Amino acid sequence: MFQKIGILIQALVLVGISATFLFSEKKQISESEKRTLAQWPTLDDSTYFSGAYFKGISEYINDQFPERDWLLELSNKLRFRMGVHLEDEIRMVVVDGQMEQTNEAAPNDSLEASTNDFNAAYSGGMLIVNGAAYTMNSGSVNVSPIFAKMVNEYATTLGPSVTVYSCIAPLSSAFIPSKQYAYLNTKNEQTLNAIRDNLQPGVKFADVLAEMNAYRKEKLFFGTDHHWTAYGAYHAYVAFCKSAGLNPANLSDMDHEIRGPFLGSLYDLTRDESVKEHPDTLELFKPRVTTELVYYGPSGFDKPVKCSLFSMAKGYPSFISGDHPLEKITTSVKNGRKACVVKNSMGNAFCVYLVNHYEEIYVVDFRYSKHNLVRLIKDNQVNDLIFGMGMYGAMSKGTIQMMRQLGLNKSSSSSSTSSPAKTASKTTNKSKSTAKSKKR
Amino acid sequence: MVFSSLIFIFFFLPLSLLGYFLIPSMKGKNFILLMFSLLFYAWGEPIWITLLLFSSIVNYFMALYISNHQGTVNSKFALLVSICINIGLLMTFKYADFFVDNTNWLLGTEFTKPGITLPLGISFYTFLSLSYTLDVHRGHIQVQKSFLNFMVYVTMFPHLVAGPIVRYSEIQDTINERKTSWAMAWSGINRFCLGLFKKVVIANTASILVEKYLDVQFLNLSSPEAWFGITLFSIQIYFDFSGYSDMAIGLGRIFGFNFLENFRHPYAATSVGDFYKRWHMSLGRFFRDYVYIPLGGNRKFQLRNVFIVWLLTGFWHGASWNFVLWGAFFGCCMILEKLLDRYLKVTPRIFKHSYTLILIIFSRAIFYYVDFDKLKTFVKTLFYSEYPVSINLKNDLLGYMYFFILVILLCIPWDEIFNKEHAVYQRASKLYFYGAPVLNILLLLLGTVLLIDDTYNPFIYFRF
Repeated sequence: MFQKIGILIQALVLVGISATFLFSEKKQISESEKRTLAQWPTLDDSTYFSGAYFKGISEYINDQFPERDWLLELSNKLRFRMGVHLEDEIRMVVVDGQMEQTNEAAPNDSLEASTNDFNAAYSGGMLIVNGAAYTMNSGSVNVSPIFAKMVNEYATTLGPSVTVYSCIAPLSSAFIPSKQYAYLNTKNEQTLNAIRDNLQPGVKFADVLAEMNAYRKEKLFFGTDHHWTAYGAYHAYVAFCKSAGLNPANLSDMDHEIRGPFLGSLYDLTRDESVKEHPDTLELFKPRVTTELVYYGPSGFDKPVKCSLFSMAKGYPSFISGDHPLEKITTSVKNGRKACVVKNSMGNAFCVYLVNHYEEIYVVDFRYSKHNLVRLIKDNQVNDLIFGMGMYGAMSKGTIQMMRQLGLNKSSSSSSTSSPAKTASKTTNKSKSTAKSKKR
Repeated sequence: MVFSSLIFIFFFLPLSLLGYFLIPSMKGKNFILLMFSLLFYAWGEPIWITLLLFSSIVNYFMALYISNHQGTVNSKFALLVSICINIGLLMTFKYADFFVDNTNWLLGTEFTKPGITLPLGISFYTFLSLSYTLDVHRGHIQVQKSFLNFMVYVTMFPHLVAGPIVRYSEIQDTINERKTSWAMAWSGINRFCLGLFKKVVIANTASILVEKYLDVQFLNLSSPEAWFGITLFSIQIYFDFSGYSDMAIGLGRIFGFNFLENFRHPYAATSVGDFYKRWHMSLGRFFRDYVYIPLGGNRKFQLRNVFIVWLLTGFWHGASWNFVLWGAFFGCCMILEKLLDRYLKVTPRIFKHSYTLILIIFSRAIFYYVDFDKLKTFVKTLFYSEYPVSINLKNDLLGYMYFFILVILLCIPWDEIFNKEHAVYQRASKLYFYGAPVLNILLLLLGTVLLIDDTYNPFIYFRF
C-alpha cells in the first residue's frame, strides 16, 4: 500500500509537470539570457537525417520549460551553494563560450564574427575574484605580428598624409588583483609589445597597458561585463594623446554622471551568484564639447540615423549609443582635424574622449561594416586612422582579416550619396533604436 | 536520447510507461517497448538505426539456424558467420579509421580514412548479440523464436546505449511473460532517482572541475593539482557510469526485468583484480565467459590469458592506442598481483587499498588523454612540475568539502560493512523505506533544476 501511494505521488508529480509544460505560454526571447529561445523545429529530410529535428525538440523542451528563468536562477544558486565560498576568494570558472547576442542594429552575418572575437577572449576560462570576473586569456604573441602587418598595409596604402595609430587595450587578465596571476600582466605586455615591434616606422604605438598599469588600483574593467570602464578607456585615451603629441583633457573638466546598477555580459555568461551580488555602476565623463552623432547601415550612407554621444542605456551600450557599422561624430572643435577609429565595442568608450581634439570622427566597427575604409578616409580627408579596440579584436586571424577586408570592400561611396558629409542633411532621428543595441 | 534530460524524464518516460501499462497483453507490451526503444535510439542516431536493425535481424536468424542445426558442422559455421558479422560491424564502424591510420603509418600508404561516426551503443549491442548467439550455440539458453521478443531483448532502451551488457540468460524467464509488482516498480523508481542524482549532481559537478584542471589549466598545472584533477575524473567517470547503470537497472525493474548489477563499490577494492570484479561487471563477465575461459582460464597459460583479456578490454573501449595501453597497463598490474600473491595476502588491507586506488586513479589519465603528447606531458606533471600549487586547489578542496564528503560516503560499501541483520542496516533500510517518496521527489526536482540549462550532457560511456 505504501509503495502504491509512493508510485502514485511520483506519477502525479511527473504528469503534473508535463501537463504544465503543455499548457504554459511559449516564449520567443529570454530577457535574462539575452538570446532567442528554441522553437518547435520543422521536420524534413535534412533535419531528420542530420539529427537536427530531434535535437531541436530537446532544445525546445529545455528552452520552453515552465518557469525557466526562475529555475535557471535556482540552478545557479544551487551550483554556487554546492561549495563553501571563502572570503577574498578566487575561483576559476569555465564557460562554454557560446554567447549569443541580440543586437538588432547589426546585420545578421556579422553576429557570428562579433560573438567569436568575444568568445576568443573568454575561451581560456575566467577567474572570479571577489565577485568580479576576469578573463584568463592574454592574447597571442604569434598573432600580434599579423595584426601589425595589417596596420602597416593601411599605412602604406594611405601614404604620409594619414597618420596611423595602434591603440590596443589589454584584456582584463592584466589587472587581476592577485600576485599569483601577475604573470598574466606580463603576457598581455608581451602580446602588445609584439605588435609594437612589428609596426613599420611612421606608424605610432600607444602604450595603453603602461598607462593603465600606473592606475591599476582604479576600477579599469567592469566586474560583471567584459568591457572597460570610463576610467580604463580614459587612460587609453591619455596613452593615445601621448603618442599623438596631444594634450589630454582632464577628467575633472568633464561632466560626471553615475548610472546603474547593472549586470553585464559576464554575468550573462557565467550566471555566477557572487558576480550577481556585485553589480556594476556606470560612471560617465562627458567632455564639454557639443557633438552631433549619426550612424549608418553596413554599407551606403543613404539612411543616417541621429543618436547621441551618451545614450540613456544603463550599461556599456551608453557610449556612442552602442555598436553600429559606421558612426560619424561632428564636434564643436573647429580645428579642421578628422579622425577615423576602427574599433570593436571597447573602442566606444575610448572614442568619446577624442571629441576634445577632432572636428569630425568616423567610427568604423570592423565586425559589421561593409564600407571601404580607404575610400572613406580619402573622401573625407581624414588625418588620423586609429585602430582603437580591445585586444580580443587583435588576437585572432579571423578578426584581423575582417579589418583587412575593410580596405578591399567595394565602396558604396561611388553611389549618388558618396560620403557621410553629403548625406548629413538627410538625417532622421531614431534615437530609440539605440535602446535595442544590447551588449558589446 | 539521454536518461538525464528533461525530455526523457517528463515526456518519453511517462508516455512509454502509459503505453506499456495500458496494454494488457504481453505481446502488446513488448510491441510498445520495442517502438519506444527504436524511437529512443533514433533520437540520437536517426541514420544508424538501420545498422541496429540489420544487426538484430541477422543475429535473430543466425541463432534460429544454430538452434535448428545444434551439434552439426552447419551450426558451427553459422556461429562463425554470426561472429564475423558482429565483429565485422564493430571493426568497420568503430575501428576502420584506426586501422587505416595505422596501415598508412606502417606501410607509408595514403588510404583515405572512411571517417565514419561511431554509431551510438554499437559496442554494447554487438556484444549483447554476440553473447546471445554464443549461448544458443553452447546450449546454455533456449533460442527466442519470437522476433518481437528478440528485438525487445536487443533494443530495450534501458540498456541499449551504454549497457549493462545484459545476457539473455538473465532475462529469458521474463522476456516472454513477466509481471510487474508494485514493490518491483517502486524499487525501480528508487534506483532511477539515485542514478539521476549520481549523474546530475555528482558526475556533472565533478566534470566542471575536471575541465578546469585537466583542460584549461593543463599547461600550468602543479603536481598536486594534476593528481587532484585526475582524482576528480575518477569520481566523474564512476558516478557517471554507475549512475547510468542505476537508471538502466531501475527502468528495467519498472518494466519487470531484473538486470544484474554492473558496479559494486569499485573504489573499495583491495587489488586491481578485485577492482575489475566490481567495475563494469557485465563487460568483465563477457570477457571471462567468452575469452578468458575458452583460452584456458586459470588452468593453462593463465598470465597470457589475463594479458590478452586486458588488451581486448582496453581495445573495446575505443579505437585508439591509449586504450590499448590502458588495457596493457592493467594486464601488467594483474600479472604482477598474481606473481606477488603470497606477499599481498599478508599485506595490511589499508596498504592494498591505497596502492589499488593510486593505480586506478593513475590509469584514468590514460583514459582521459587520447592524445599521446598530452598524456606524456600530464604523466610527467603528475611527478614533477615547475609550477607552484595555485590557490585554486585550496579553494576547491575547501569550497567543495561537502561534495567530497558526500562522494566518500557514497563510495563506501556500507552493505559489506554491515550485514543485513545488523541493527544499523535495519534502521537505515527502514528510514529509507519511509523517506523514499519524499526523497525521490526531491531528487527529481533537484535533477530538473540542474538540467534546465543543460540540453545535452551525454554519459562518458556513450563514446565507447
